[in-house]
Amino acid sequence: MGTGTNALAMHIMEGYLPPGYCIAWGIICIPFLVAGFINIKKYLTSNRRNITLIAMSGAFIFVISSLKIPSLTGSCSHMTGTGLGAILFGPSSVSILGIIVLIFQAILLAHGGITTLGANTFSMAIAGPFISFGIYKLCQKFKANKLVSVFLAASAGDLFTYCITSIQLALAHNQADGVFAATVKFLGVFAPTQLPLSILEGILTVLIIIALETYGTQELAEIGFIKKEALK
Amino acid sequence: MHNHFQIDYIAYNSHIRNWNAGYKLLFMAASIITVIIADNVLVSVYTLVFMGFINIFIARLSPKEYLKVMKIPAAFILLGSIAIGICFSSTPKGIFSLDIGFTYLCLTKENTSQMFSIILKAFGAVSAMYVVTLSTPVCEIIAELKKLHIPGIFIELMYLIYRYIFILFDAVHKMQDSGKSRLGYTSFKASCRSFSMMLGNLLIISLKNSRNYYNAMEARCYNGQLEFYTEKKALTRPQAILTLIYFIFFIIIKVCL
Amino acid sequence: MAEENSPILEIKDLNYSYDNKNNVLNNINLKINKSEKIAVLGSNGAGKSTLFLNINGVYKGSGDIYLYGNKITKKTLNQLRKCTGYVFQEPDSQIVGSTVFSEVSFGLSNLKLPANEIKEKTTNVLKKMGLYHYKDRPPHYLSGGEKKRVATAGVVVMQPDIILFDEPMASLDPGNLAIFENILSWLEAEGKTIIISTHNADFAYKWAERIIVLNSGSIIADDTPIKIFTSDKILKTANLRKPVFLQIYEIIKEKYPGGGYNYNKAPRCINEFTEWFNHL
Repeated sequence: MGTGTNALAMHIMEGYLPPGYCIAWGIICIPFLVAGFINIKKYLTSNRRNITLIAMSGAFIFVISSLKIPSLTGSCSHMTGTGLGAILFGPSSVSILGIIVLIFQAILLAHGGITTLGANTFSMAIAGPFISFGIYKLCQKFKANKLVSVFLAASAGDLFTYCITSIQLALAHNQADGVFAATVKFLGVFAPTQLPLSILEGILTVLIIIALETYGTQELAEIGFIKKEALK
Repeated sequence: MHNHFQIDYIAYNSHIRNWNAGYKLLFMAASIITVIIADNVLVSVYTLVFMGFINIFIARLSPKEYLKVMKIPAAFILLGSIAIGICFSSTPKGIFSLDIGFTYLCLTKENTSQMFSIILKAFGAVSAMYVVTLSTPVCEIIAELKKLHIPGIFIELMYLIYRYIFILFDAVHKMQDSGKSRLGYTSFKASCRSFSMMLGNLLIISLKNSRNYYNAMEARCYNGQLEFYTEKKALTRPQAILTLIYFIFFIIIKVCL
Repeated sequence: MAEENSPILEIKDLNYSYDNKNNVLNNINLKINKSEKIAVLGSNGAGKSTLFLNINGVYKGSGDIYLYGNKITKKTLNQLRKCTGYVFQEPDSQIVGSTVFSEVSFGLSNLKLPANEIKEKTTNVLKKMGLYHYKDRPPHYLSGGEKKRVATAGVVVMQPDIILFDEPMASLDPGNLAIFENILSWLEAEGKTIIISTHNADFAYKWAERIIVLNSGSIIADDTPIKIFTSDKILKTANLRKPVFLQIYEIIKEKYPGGGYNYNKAPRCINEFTEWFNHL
């Protein structure tokens, strides 16, 4: 199912970026990854048993980002999962889980690639989650309705990822008419799939949060997974 | 399940699975870097053909299956290439122009050749990546990464996440089937609801189970350091010669053109 | 070495609770001897799995555990885990390795044995359990029965003295059930102590030499199968069913009164029943 020929994900393919860009995006990711690593390490030092919990969260992000989602048109698309991941696990842990998920997507599903890992990590595991988390916190500050905040956070995360990917591509491929025009072109070609997708991602994320609340915020809090106030 | 993870499934049954994994990874890295640095249509085509030869004749992947996996990146490559192929212009130019009001969308010769060069480069690099991913189980790749002194926690998370992905997908398929049998996916609206409920449920169940998974590891003397036995696979002469052939022809192409 | 008659494992006054409020295990006292065949019975939530995790040293309740007469401390916890093997009910919760070989050798790798020893021991067990041709396969492409066997092999390979099975027969088809019973008799022949938690009264009656009945976290009976299953009080308290062959035996006994009935010689399986019935 997931590996259909029309898998519309925002992963930059192997071989698509010149070497300089591959390295540069990789370097930009490093500080975020180090912060995420320190965060996870701290969590593990407090209780070593959390390792299976963190790994399970990572596997969950992989699953939501490679499952075919319900669609109106019959096309085959996926959530990015960045918004949900950031709200549940925090953006810095998501950077580490995200890069692992991206490695597996490249190896197991041929979505993305090895040399483009840095660029993909930045757009999908760093930029998207940080924007989602920021918007979610901002909404909380202004006491917005929680489900509205979740929707905005998830949709914005998705949109931002799509914008960043377009910019990344435009920076590397703009020989015809400059970075700005190239960005517009990349935004344009991906828009028909990505714009509806970001709205759908927002809706699905809201529904998942509702499901989580009805089934067991209590249970999630009990196993020490989320802070009791995280979803309030 | 096999359909979703066809690459994983192929890897376990590959005829070059017993090749030295570190060598395969090095060869892949070297050839991908060669392709993207060379930025040359002939080198891309040459790599595409060479890697296709390895995948079909040495790893013994059926051409039909190989074509199927090569089609996976096609959607992205197609869309990405359109954006590279066309350009904006205030006056019509090139082979083809489209007036969209405030500007013209043009297809010039220069841009199209650039587009094809990138398409070939991407397929060349992907085919090199497939030499590894279609023949090397993930656990062997992780074991090689471990040698690069990547932090232990990262390696450990990779091992566990890889294992859990399959447990979760198993659960997803069961839940989706049971959802379908209760008519949970008959309309778009119902699908969205069933889909989200299923995922919410999945997260809770799997996080609860993850506690048990730790118990099970501890029961077999796990002490906070995940260790697996890995068979050492010899690097034989034919394997090494393959790399040599690849680079000899690469140099020939480079020098002659 | 310990004396012949001293128990392998002794549990003294064990209490365990998950939340420091409600005890899941109450005042457990237990001696486990070499080569015993023990069945643990009790309804869902009686505390069977929690007891197993305590015996295995994964959970640490109040009270003491003695292994060959030595009290288990934090330092010697790994000895307890090595000496007692636990086969979980769900093989998927146990399997961590990405190939059958790496999964089965996982425990040995944790014990930091030399590579050639790991290879030799694992190969032996895989061959004995009919898994050798699967050795390079990933567990996620195996069937449920095969996964269960892989999980069992991963415990057996560590050569524990006591092996704990949690509901080993749940969801096994007849073919896999026969394989499992073969493995059991092979382990018995090696002199292992085997403890099985089960809901299957017929199996417990047929196989066990000793039955421990758990009810709401307490041991309410610890005796021979025949004594347990002929006590209405125990059966009622723990909500257990009488084994079919025992019921038939009692029906026949009631219908045709006379001499020659002896509970200790009551038939426990179809072969014993046929023989007994023919001599009646």
